[in-house]
Amino acid sequence: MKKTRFILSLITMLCLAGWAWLRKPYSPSQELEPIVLTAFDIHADRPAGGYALAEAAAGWRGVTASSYNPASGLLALAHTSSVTPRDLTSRLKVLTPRPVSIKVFPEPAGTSCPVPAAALATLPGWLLGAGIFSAASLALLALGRPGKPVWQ
Amino acid sequence: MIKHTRIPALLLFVALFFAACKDQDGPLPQPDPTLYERLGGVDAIALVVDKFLANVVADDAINARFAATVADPFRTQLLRNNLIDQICAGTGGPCQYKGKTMLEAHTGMNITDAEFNALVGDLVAALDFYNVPQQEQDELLAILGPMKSDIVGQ
Repeated sequence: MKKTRFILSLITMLCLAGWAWLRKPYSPSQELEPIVLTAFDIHADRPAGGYALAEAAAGWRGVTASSYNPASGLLALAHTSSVTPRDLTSRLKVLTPRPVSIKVFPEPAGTSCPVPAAALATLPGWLLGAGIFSAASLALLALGRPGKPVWQ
Repeated sequence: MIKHTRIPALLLFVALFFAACKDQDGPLPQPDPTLYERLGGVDAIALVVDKFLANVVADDAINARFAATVADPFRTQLLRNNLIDQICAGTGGPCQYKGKTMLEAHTGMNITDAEFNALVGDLVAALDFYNVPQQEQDELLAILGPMKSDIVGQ
């Protein structure tokens, strides 16, 4: 029993210390709705056409920013997840007779972390959960009276 | 006894009366608003950052550098929040930048002067789009400018 309590105490301390070290302090930016960035190859024949598309898209619900660059021919939209890139493509196609396609950027060269960044970001939450669970288990053990189990 | 208790009450009334009169002479001097307040707070900064990111993604001089970020919504969010927090904290707002240092984030990337200038150009275009006055733009760029040595050529 002592060994179990010691292990649980150790797990609780390690998990809560890890959570305290990894957790991020509060910032007002956390309250903002997340955005997605999507680039479209709009093949505009004239820059004015591209700028007009960017201006129209800027007014759509869910689009937080739009930008057209005549040098690249790309229209980039910052939008919330309430609209999908496919929806935006359809809406752009209505506005222009030119082909519209989503720009896929080439994979950057070099090695990348095999663990997705989103998974790493959940680590503090898991540590806090594990810390609370082991602390609760420790409390239950402490409350329980030593002796033979009832089924013996 | 009653008379004795009235005197302090009368004195208190007179003191409050003159204190109230003093307030009417004019408002107390307010501290100058911070750059964060003049920019319009976190919502206005978020709008500028979204426009800046859209400018960057459309800019083929530098958008390849952001390919992995654009492809992953989580990384997009991380970059956006870090940019907002960095501007918010640097301009005197109630935020704390939680990302890597500029040197840590850009080591091994070999970012050139031209790429850095293109990035600054995209930021200025976003500030111009939202009609941020020149003084506020200059103050903001003066805060971000010293980071160049940690970003370029690392």
